[in-house]
Amino acid sequence: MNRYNYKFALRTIYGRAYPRIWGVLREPSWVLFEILLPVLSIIAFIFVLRSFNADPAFEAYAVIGGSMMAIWFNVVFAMALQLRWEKDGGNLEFYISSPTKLSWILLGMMVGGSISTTSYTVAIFSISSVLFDTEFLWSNWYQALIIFISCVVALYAIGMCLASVFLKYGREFEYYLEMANEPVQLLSGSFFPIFSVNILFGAIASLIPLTLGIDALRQVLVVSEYPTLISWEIETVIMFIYALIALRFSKYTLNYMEKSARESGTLTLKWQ
Amino acid sequence: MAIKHRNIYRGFISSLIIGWRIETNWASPINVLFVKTIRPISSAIILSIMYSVASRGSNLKDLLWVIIGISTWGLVQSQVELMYWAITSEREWLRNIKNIILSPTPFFIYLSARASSGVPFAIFSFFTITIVSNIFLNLNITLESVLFFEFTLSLVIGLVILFFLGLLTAGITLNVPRTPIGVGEAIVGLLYLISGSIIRPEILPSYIQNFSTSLPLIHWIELVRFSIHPAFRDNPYDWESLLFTSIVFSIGCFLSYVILFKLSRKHGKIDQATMY
Repeated sequence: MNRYNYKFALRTIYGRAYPRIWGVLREPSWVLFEILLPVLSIIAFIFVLRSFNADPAFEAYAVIGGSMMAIWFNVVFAMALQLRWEKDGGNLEFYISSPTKLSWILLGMMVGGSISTTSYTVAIFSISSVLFDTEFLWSNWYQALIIFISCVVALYAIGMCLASVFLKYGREFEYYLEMANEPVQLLSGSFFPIFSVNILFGAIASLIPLTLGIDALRQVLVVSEYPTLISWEIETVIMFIYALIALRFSKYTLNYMEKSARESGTLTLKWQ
Repeated sequence: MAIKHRNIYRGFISSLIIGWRIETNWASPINVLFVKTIRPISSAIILSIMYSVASRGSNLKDLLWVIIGISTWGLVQSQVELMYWAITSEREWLRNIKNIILSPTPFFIYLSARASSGVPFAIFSFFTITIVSNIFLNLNITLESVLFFEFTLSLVIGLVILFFLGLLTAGITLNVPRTPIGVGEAIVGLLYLISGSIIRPEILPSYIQNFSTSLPLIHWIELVRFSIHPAFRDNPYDWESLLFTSIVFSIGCFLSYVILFKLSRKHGKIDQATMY
């Protein structure tokens, strides 16, 4: 990549990340809803746990799991579905015909989205912790930070791959988005320790990086002993590997999309 | 008005069909069945796993109270959600809301038909969560213990209440074009916490308790519990509270909707697409 392209890529990434970081400040009510709704979900599950007379440690699990779900929703709805929305809004034609690359645009979305979602997640986590007076091992903050970054990067990289899939397979595939909520809450173990159910179930569920991220964060942040199978170090390495594979794969899929859009000319048409 | 004959019956049927198609996103019936089945089953399995790994011997009545509350709340989420999603989709994505409002079918008929298309899914979800939880958690719900008349009545009353709650949410959504989904979700989310579905009203502050008991939702969910399991039949059911609050609430919601609908037309917010 020559010097011009390098600067151009950075400008594209900055240009696409900018509205995701600063754009939300133009509509503060969005920030409120982004934080309020996951907090309500955490409150609901904690009251369910209390009705089960559960150990208070489970409340800490729910706070971590519920906060991380916010990232998942952002990846699915603001990353994977983004190109399809841009297509319906008529912007995708501009993206394709502009001299920049789709992968740079999505990288910008990834950077901007991950920064803004991280701030929401921190807010959700803080509010829920204060509301339920949940204790965490704050001395392990740097380990938690490494896990969190690896999880966010892996999830957004997968979001980049999914963006091509949603664009290619269109409306019918979009219907599967309904499964982004409860089934993923189940598979990621958002509100219970995933390996305490069944080792095989936990192993299969670990194919989703969110499961590994939540499991690893609980290992380093929860005060009491946490039942798990894989250490947080290994989980972090696996998440980084996920990220590398997904980024590489998304580069191919996006290039393929861009090529087919330019050649056949139908990919960018609205209502297709 | 140029149009004298309001096209109610045919409008309802057409809206119901289009509601079904939009709700299922034109997906094949196999995909629809798969997605609609897997969501409630996932919810039920989450609750079952949480109970099996976390419970330290809670009593059956507390467990039943929560499970029935959660499964009943699925109806609220589904029905109210469809109303504000109908507005958001017509305004933002399909850009068709002005045509629908100008058509001979009254807008609230269109909305009610759109929401009705989700009723089978919502009831299916309710039964799935209840039955799966009953199997995995031994909730002791038997067919003999269910009061079928009261249960059927609770479903009918519930759907009527939810229709009017949905209309109120739709009216608000029409007036907040920049935050259409967030407002609807926030209303449903807040009601979730104060309507006695998962949090016992006794532990809420007194002013929230008073507000909560003035809404029909809390009485309706109690009726569902009453009709499903004998553990909630220590006292006779308070029909007066349910009927009184339902009537007042429904009238209040409908009037609010009428006012909000007029306001949104007056201020030109009906088709104000923002791409939020």
